[in-house]
Amino acid sequence: MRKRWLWLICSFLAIYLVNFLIPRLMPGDPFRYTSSVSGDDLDAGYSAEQVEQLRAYYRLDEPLAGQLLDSTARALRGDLGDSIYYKKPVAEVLAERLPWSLGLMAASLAVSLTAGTVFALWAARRRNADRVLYPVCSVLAEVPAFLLGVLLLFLVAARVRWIPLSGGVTPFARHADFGERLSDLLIHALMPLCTMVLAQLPQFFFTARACFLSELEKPYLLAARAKGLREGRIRFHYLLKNSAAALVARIFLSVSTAVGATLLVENVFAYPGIGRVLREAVAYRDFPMIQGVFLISSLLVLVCLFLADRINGDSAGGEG
Amino acid sequence: MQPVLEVQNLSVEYPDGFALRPVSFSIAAGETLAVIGESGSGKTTLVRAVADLFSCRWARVSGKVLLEGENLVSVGEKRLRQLRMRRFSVVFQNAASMLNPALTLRAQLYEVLKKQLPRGEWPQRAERLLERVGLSAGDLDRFPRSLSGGMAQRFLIACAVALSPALVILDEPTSALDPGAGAGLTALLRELQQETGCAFLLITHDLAFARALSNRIVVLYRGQVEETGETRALLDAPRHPYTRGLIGASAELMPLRDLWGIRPAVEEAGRGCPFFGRCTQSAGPCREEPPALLPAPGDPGRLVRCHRGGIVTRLEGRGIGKQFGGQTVLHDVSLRVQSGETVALIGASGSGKTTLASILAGFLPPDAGKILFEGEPADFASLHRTEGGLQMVFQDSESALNPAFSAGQAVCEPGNLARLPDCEARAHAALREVGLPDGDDFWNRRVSHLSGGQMQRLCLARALTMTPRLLVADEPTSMLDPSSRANLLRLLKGLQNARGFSMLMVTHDLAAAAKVAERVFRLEAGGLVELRREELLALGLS
Repeated sequence: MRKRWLWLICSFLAIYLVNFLIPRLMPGDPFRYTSSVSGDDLDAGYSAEQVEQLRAYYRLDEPLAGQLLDSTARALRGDLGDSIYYKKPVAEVLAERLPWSLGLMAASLAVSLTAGTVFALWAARRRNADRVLYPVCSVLAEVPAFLLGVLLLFLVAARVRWIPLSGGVTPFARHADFGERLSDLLIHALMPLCTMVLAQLPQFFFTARACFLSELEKPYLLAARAKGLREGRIRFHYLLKNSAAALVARIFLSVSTAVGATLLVENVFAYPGIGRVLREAVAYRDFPMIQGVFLISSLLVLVCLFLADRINGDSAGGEG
Repeated sequence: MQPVLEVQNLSVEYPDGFALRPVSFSIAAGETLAVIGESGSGKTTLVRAVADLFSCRWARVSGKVLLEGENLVSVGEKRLRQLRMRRFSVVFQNAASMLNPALTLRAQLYEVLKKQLPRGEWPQRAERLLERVGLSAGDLDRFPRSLSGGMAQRFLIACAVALSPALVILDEPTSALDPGAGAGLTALLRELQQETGCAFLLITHDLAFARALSNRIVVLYRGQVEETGETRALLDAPRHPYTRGLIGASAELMPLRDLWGIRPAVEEAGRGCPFFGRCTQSAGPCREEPPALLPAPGDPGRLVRCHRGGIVTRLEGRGIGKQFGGQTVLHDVSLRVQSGETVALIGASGSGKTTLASILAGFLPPDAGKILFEGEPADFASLHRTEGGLQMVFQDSESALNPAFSAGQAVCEPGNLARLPDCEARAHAALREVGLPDGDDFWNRRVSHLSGGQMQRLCLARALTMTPRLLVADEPTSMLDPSSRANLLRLLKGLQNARGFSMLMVTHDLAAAAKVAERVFRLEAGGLVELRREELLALGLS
């Protein structure tokens, strides 16, 4: 147990260090090189003195070691620094944008867990269903999430009038009541959510299917048949209950892919989560912002992996 | 009265062959039928076929399984589901792995109770059932992983009898139990049977357990019934060589005797009797024609599947009497020696052991009675001189051997007299078998220069060169040290197990007799008394 904690802390420190170094080792400069995306953004630029001032302001003029100590000390106090591009504290930007991403991830995980498990239950008991579901999921698992997003955007969203192409909410809309606002939010989340679900469903399907198939081989399934139990009872109380631990662990394992997918998918649909923030921060070499996004997402992934490990370990140890 | 279970020509075929050939039997209410056999004999297939638990389409089941008149093979899954646990139930082996680890015992027992009882009665009934099988009501809220194997099994039994079914199938109930737990289980099952009147179909390879619990036994080999009969009669006097082999291999039934498994097949069974290759008395028709299951001669309750009518009686002495100088030594003595068995004769010196052995071996004419060899009046002159006949090893080996012969000549003598073609090769093999050197040095040594123990073994080697069907040995180990004695007895028993010859052994060494003999007789006042199993046990323990 102590070993696992140590492992968690070491991994976090290593990631923190990489997060700190990578933006600074990238070519480019947040003040000279404001954008590489569109020519319009290339403004006249700052004068040499201005740049010096800005550097001092953002404390980027110190040597790397000094910067590291300084930003670590401030991060420990909860201060993640100020975003150069957004001109706001990083923590504030994150607090604003994170709920969008977290919501998308949580909803997609919940939907793909449910759908994947239901499909797997179906496939485990019906050979014909398995013949279709297994290859479909195998193909789906190989397609990158952003590509799925682009496909959905072109094939569905672009053709169906009532599905918005981008954004998280209708701009400048005034909602009469909560229900209207909710439906507006939901309809904007629909396409990104579908993409994420399609990307993650295979993992849950395969995990659940493998669990169910191994459960089906267990002696107590023979006993269940000898008891003359109904199919529904066998599926729920024998297959599903005994696979629960593995499926919950799968959720936490899937968070890492969910984070990766959400960063990309949000950009496809211009969804206002941290994926968009990251893209802009990278584009403008907004070091503190990049660091903040990485910090929060890697923390999330690490903690979830740690939890998955514990669940798997507990259920393996508890079976004896 | 209608039997609870009637199995008619039930057979199961897997793609790679038959797992169960047509099998028929029936069980009455309150009766226990035990099915015994080695692993791979089709016992588990039988359970699955009777309880309709094949999950795969590749097992083809045909025949009828009539449970209270209803054919389970054809009623369909829906009706089966209604009947399960209510009219028949199964207690599986390895009970602990048969319980769903995610549910408490309570939930798993309720799954059964709800098939028949209103919800209100469940808790009370569940508690009563658990207490009935020796668990406590508090165990209901435990999960299976906190139970021992024995507790899990008791719980499975509670589930199986919960709805008082007419038939309970017990699949190897003792396999996962500690040795001591078997007796408690027997008592519990007996009581439950008395209370509910259900019939048990007991599948086991534990013969002591089958003996304690069952009324009748079915012996299964390669998916075929080899023998059936009343439990005690069948275990005390098996008619089929396979049954005898199983009993001989059972440490529980034969705590004193050396254990010998049935010999491995020397030849694969073809179309004929499935036991052909492992049987030591197989003859012509056994190879080609499958035998039928027929009533054993003289015992209509016993069915045996054997071309030879079961274990062959090799030698039978009827009403033998002998007097020496007006004094009766033997009076109306009858004795049978079956193929492949060892019979030991014990008794005080002067009780007539050697006399009886000599008469039975044809070296001394009896005053009264007759001797049959394989059902025919014994023609000793030819039996002594042919291969596969009768050979005797005398007690006084020194006077049994011509002192002028060399060892090699002595061993070759019987073969030469019988004009066997490969005498010398046989002689060398026999010498090695009895643990004597077969080099030239020993071969050319004069018999008179050998030690007592060497002469005794030489006599035995002589007899073995003739591959006799009956070996009569008078004190064959009297001159040997304990280690040589053990080796020789194990050798004889091993040869017997592999070749199936019969042995009549005269000895004063009761401990050795109990180790090797199937049956032990004591000669007392001119008559024979068979020592029962319990008496032998008592002797062995003292």
